Amino acid sequence: MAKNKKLSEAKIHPWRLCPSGQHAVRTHPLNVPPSKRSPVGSVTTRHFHCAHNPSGKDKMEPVEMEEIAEQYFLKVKNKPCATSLKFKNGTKYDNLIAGWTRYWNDVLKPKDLLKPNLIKALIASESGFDALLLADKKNQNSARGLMQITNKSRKILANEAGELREHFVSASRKELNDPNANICAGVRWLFRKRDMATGKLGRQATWEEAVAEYKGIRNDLVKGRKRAKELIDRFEGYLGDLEACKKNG
Amino acid sequence: MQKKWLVLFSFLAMAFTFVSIARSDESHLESLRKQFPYGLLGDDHGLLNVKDLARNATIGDEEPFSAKSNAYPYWQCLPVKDIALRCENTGYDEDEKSTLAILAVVAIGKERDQEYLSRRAFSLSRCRAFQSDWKRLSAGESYACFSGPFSSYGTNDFGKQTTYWAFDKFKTQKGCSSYFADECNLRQGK
Repeated sequence: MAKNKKLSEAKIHPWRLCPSGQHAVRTHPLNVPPSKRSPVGSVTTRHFHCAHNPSGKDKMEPVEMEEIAEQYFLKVKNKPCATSLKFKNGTKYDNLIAGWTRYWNDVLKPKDLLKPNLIKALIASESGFDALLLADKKNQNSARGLMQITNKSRKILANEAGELREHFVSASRKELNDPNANICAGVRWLFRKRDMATGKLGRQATWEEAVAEYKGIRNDLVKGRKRAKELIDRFEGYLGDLEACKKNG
Repeated sequence: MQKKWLVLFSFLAMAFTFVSIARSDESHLESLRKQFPYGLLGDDHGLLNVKDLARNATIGDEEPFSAKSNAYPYWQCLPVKDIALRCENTGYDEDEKSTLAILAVVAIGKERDQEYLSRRAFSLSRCRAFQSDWKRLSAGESYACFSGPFSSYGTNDFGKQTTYWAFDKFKTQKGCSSYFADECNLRQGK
């Protein structure tokens, strides 16, 4: 009984606030309905706590994302190259990129680790480091934020239709405007895309193939289409600059 | 005699108007270049304003255009008659549950084409909406201006020299259409 209790309290990752199968709920006001003792009702404070996930599986929510980033990311050593790539905000998110790359590598344990430079290059190619970009104002479901996450992706990450097996990320559309939540979700999504490419290829997909899948152009690349190649070359150009920077510095 | 003076006066008035317009065009372009010396490649044919160039300066470091300038978006204005907006179908995406496409704006040049490409494949239906925008905003127009960061020098499927750019937006006298929301409704400071 004691051993079972210990296992159930185990965390997915040492940075997590709550045990596996539970998610963090931030301190919030709670309305207490009227009663004999308090005929008009009252407002109390429900303090931070861990709540069970209905699925029993791991789920990351923005309140934990904030805490994790604040407590741990400054100390993460494997950061992307500290070059702006000539973007005004090009170095602004380096700590978040480093932290979430490290986190998802630790949790999902790929044989070839995802590198933070790759995430930074992907952000450069998707949004030029503009955190508030929405692809289509007439369609609030369109891609948003640093990593241009669509609403369909957001729903899959939260496992609304059961398409993701484990390690869900739950964030609203508005919450994805926050760079921290966006990068957390975006890196998880890239892992998803690598899994999909792997399934289609019948062998382990490379991270570059995962990026092509992320951009919706992997099939066109395989067919040798020029425009798909230009899109991936643009991403590769940024990645090359970042990799060169690390070698030189 | 009076008729001769009238003809001379009309001629001088027309000449003066022509020179004024030419000078005003020069001063418009000069004014743009003074504030943003690198942001516009070539002539804008009166289509751009300071806000258009100011917005791009918030994205990337302003620098003279070169093959290494792949962050700062540049504006360039091209003849509408040479331009086509295409949606290159990339197939059905299981996660998006829709057919995706790469947006490709193709401007034919004598020796070199220009192509503005979307940053990723996105819904074909949205790409078609861009085609509708292009049809509407370019009808009867001589020039359209395009904004986006440089991507690479390459060749297209037919082996022709092509300069590739990332597509951000296009603008004509009739209006503007952008890949990202609100990039055509520029507020002060953005």
